[in-house]
Amino acid sequence: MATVSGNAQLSAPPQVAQPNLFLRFVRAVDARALILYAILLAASLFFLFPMAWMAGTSLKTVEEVGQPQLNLLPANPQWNNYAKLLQEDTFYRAYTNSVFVVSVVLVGTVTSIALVAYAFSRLEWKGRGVVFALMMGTLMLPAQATLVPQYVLFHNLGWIRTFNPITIPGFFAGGAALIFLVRQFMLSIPRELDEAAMIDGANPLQIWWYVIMPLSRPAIATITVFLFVGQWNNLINPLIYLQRAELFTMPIYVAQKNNLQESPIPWQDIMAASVLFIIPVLVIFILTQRYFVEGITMTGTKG
Amino acid sequence: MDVSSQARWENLLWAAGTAIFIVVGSILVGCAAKRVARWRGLSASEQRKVYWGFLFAAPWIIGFVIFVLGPALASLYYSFTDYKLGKPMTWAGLDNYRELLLGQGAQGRRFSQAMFNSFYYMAVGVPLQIVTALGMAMLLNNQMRGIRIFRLIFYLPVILAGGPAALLAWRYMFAGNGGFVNVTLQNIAGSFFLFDWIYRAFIFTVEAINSLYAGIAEGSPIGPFKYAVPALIGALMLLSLVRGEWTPSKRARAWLVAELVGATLIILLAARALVADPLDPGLLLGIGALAALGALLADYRGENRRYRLWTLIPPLLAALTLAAVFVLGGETERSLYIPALLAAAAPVALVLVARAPAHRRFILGGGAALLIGFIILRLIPGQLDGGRLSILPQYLTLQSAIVQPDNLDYLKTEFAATTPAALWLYGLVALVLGGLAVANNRYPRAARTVALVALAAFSLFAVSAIVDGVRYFQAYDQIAQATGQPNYHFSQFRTATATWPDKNRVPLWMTNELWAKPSLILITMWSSGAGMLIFLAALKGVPRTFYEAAEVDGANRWQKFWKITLPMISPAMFYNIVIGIIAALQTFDTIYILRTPQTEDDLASAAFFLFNRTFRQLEIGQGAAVSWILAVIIVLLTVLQFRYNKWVYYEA
Amino acid sequence: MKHRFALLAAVAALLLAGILPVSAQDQSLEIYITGLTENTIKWFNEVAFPAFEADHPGVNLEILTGGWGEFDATVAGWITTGSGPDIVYLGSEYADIFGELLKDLDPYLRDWEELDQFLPTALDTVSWDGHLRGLPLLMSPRPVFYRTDLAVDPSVIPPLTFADALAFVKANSAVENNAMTKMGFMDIGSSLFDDQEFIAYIWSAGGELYYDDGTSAFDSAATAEALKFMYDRRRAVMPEETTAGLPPFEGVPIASGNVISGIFPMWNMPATSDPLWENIAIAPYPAGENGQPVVQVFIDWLSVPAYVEDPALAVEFLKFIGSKENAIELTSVAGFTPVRMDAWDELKANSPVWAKMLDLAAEYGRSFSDIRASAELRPLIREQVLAYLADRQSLEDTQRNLKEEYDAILEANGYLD
Repeated sequence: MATVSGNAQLSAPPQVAQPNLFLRFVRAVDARALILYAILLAASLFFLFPMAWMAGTSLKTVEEVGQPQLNLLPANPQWNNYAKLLQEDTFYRAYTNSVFVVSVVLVGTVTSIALVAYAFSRLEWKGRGVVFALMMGTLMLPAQATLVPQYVLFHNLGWIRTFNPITIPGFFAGGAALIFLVRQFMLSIPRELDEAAMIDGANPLQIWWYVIMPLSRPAIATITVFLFVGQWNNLINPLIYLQRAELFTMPIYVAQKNNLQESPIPWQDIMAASVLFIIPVLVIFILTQRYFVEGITMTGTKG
Repeated sequence: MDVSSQARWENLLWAAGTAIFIVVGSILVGCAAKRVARWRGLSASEQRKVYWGFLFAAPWIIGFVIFVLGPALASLYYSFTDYKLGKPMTWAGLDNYRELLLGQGAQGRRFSQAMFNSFYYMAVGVPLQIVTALGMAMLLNNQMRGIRIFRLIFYLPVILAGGPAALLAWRYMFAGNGGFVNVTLQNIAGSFFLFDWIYRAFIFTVEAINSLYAGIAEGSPIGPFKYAVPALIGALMLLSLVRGEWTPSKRARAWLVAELVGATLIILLAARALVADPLDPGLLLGIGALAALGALLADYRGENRRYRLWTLIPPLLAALTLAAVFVLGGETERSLYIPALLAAAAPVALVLVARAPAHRRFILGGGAALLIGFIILRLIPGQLDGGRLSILPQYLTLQSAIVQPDNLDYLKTEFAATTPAALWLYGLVALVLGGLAVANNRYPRAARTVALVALAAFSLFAVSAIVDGVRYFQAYDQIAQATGQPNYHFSQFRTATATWPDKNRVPLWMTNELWAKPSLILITMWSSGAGMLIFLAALKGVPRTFYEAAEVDGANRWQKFWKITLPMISPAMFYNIVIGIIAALQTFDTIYILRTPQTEDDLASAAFFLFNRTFRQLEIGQGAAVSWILAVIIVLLTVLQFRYNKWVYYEA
Repeated sequence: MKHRFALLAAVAALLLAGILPVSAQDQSLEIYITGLTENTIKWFNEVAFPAFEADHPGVNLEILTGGWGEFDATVAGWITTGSGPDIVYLGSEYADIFGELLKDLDPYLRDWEELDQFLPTALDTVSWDGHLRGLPLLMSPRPVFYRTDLAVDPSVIPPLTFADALAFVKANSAVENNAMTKMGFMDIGSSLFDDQEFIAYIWSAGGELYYDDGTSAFDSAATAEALKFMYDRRRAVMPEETTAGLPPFEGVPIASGNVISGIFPMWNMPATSDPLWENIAIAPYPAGENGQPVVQVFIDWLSVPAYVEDPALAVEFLKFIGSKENAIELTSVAGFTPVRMDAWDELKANSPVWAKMLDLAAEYGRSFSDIRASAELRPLIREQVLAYLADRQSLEDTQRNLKEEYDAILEANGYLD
């Protein structure tokens, strides 16, 4: 608010006549802020609507879903749509599978990325430039390029119809963009800290763990959130590798609800499943949105 | 124990094993690196550094070798074979690449269409995304209560758009009749006559743009209009030249505009040709060559010598692409496109290198000789592409070049002017401009005279071309009406030019070919929050003092935006464009979930085509070839963008 | 230093050795089933599998599922690597896509006495290169349904020629405010274009997909007639390409009151016990001038991929699931028609709807089979026919492109040798 009124002061020419009471009121409210709020609210509507629509539909009856889409909210909320889902074994299984897969991926990937980013930022070694350039180069390779040979590889490892193809590759610091992000952050930590630790006789591993990691917490949190969202939404890889209903994760479950050969399409069920599917992402996002903002800003501006 | 918990335990064991494997592997990598360092005679402390460096980087290195390098090499090998699942694999040489790049057969055509769709996502989707993101960022760049909540809301779609749930919700809302989006739009439109006009204008605009685009993509004739475009550009440029002093900054700006418009034009024409005419795709490769050459020269005159090594990359790529035309193309491509491309590239060289005075005369002379030689060649009927530049005398005297307006075959084949002719024209425009720019330094008066003459010529030419274009459209329509058939050969353009939507028309999101891509783009705009955050950070970094100084000078809001904000946030803009374009080429999940049988072909991106070819039709060999073409394009784009970012303002 | 490595390596080796083997004492038989309802899968798991396992001690049955959407990618993976489920559930056109990749089952099935009970055309569908590649499981006749109570003039039902059908659709369609209010005809994807239906009309116009020399017959007069019919019908329902579809409706399309006729699979129709069936007429597809009406019959079948190590056991299961008893039970569970003719009597006695369907299938049925290089034909038809239907391409160009490109595909796939 301070700067807004500051602006007003700057641009307001000296008043000759005293404005009447109404005008004074308007000035106090600050018309510019009001207009801004109005625009912001309108934009928010656009961004929030699909979610609101999802939630509204999930509480509708079959009949309401089959009518022209005018009402956001149902006449009578059908909480039963959710109860039905929660009682399904397949739903429970898909949910727990998703939670499991995401946890494993997070532990492996975050640790390995932190290690690799450390090598690319705090350590100075011959060959670093080449390896780093190679890593950034992988960003340009389309993922589909290696899909078939990778399938053969995973098959030879006996990994088809297991969680391995989805979780294990992450342990090898999967995701050049995320390594880059953490590296950028680590570069900003003052050099003196390492040097001081070195003089105290610490080896690079100890410096990494005791000095750099605690200071890199925002970056680590950022990539954790990125990874969480990415994995939670991941559809194609699980589709190709899991194959077995017992191993299906939530995205497959939701997508399959849509594929069911039913008529009319049970939108209320699909949307209820969707709502339950996005809740964890929403919660994590709201709790950590500060890191999100920092993380994205870091990738974009310091590159 | 049930299947899923057993699988989870197994996975945990594998995870533990992998962790140990990585630790052991990393130590081994570290030791090996140290040994190499010792062998290369590095000092002990250097050896130690190498050991630790490789030790820490090893998880990525090991993973790269196993999961990326190995599979990538395998797929590179496949791309040179005719590998189809269940059939014996034989070496096919360049066949896959030839079929795809030259648009041969049904697959080549479908690949072209997918590339065309990807271009659409780049050319229409990315700018819209950038504008949305920048708009949101500017809204949020205000110190107000609750702004963080808005920021949260604006960003929210990004995290949801990656998963199926939100996409399904959109799909539901997009229903044509009675879907939420359309019901809302109709209600708004029905409330006030002005809104109704806006609504119908919106439908008209989207359908016009998309039918035009679809028409170009399908190779529908665009007739004499394609001559009008370069001529108009030339005329406009000359106008600015004649009007005032030809200062270096003006010249630079003029050149940038000419180049941007020219490049867009070439991309469109080349992409059109890719579909319509299997001979043309050499052009697409040529664009790379042209732009790369420009990039090289742009950097070469830069003071920073460090970049010299880097500038070797674009000419290498240019040579490679020209070589590709040479190897992949037949006799005709070679004789048609390589000289045409060189001619178009020559003026670029001219202007950029001419600053080195020693070279100036040499290049000017060479360029002029080149131009004269080609024009003579072109004017001889039957040479190169059938002497179609013989329209030059007609158009310069305001005559129509259409001889038989009632003969469909004539219009379709004989008159249908081919791409090289327009490309030549573009080359001509660029050459005249370049020549004038150089000459202007030394002979300002003569340059101005030449410019005036050229301006008149280009204007006449443009007017004739436009008039003839309209005639061309009418001729098609008359033939269609006379035969009582739908205007097959021209329906795309008829839709674009003739149909103002009736009352109660609704956008047929997702189900109509004209609305399929806009639906997808609307969703990407909805989820453009990542770009917004980058813009926001950049906006916050613009010093307030700049604005205050400008206010003192009496700058208005608009001026402040163009002169301060935009240059200051150009690095963020640059980053967002690069990321957006790469993402556009690789669009997959959204299409996978939103496609319908009717719109699948209209949505398919390059990555989606790759998936279809590989997994639906089991053509692993060709699928692999697609993936490598895609990879090369992405690398090229990235390199070009980094070389071409002259307009990005970096602080300090 | 050295000692530490040795120790670490030993621990790693131990751990790797400990986690690698996954025990499998029982012989397991994996069956991949696609796109079935949860009820059907439940029936397999709870009724069929235990019964088979009781007869074959030591055999462990397992069901794998997925949708048609990711089906191709999944199967491509199995075939690349030569390992996957022992039995794969396939649709009509897949015999040709996979061909040699499926096991020749003649040695196991030709002598089976019950084979005669299977509809011959269904056996053709599951054969490739003259050899059985699996056993038909279910069949799905897809006739045209007409609402006798809603039609403008019910006496013309069923129209059996293209001209009559067109007149019927015209009379029963309505458009208001650029949106349909009544559809005289609706197809399965409600897009008024279906590649499978297009092939059926070529047949009912008296044409075939191939000439005797194996080249494409898309340039035939019958193809032209079929295309023309589909175009005129599309224009009758949807005057402009920009006409919006029907408003949303509750329930299945035929019960909506706005759909007067249509081609639907049975899972998109009311339950056979629904009283609405009294007002629904079932009829074959209309025919062209030189053709006969046709009812398209889709066959879903169980195949055994070539990589399977114990095909005998897989065939045992095919025979088991293809038995008369199981065929009848699957009908009530999954709503498909049995392919075994000896199962029909019971079904006909129980339900007049099924009786009518089966009679039609017997009289007019033509199974959706012998579609060569179908994986590549499908996108070709979609692209070319849609361009024609949407006024973007002339009939002649469409036929020429179809013919030329399909010939190229046939040649590339070795059909024209």
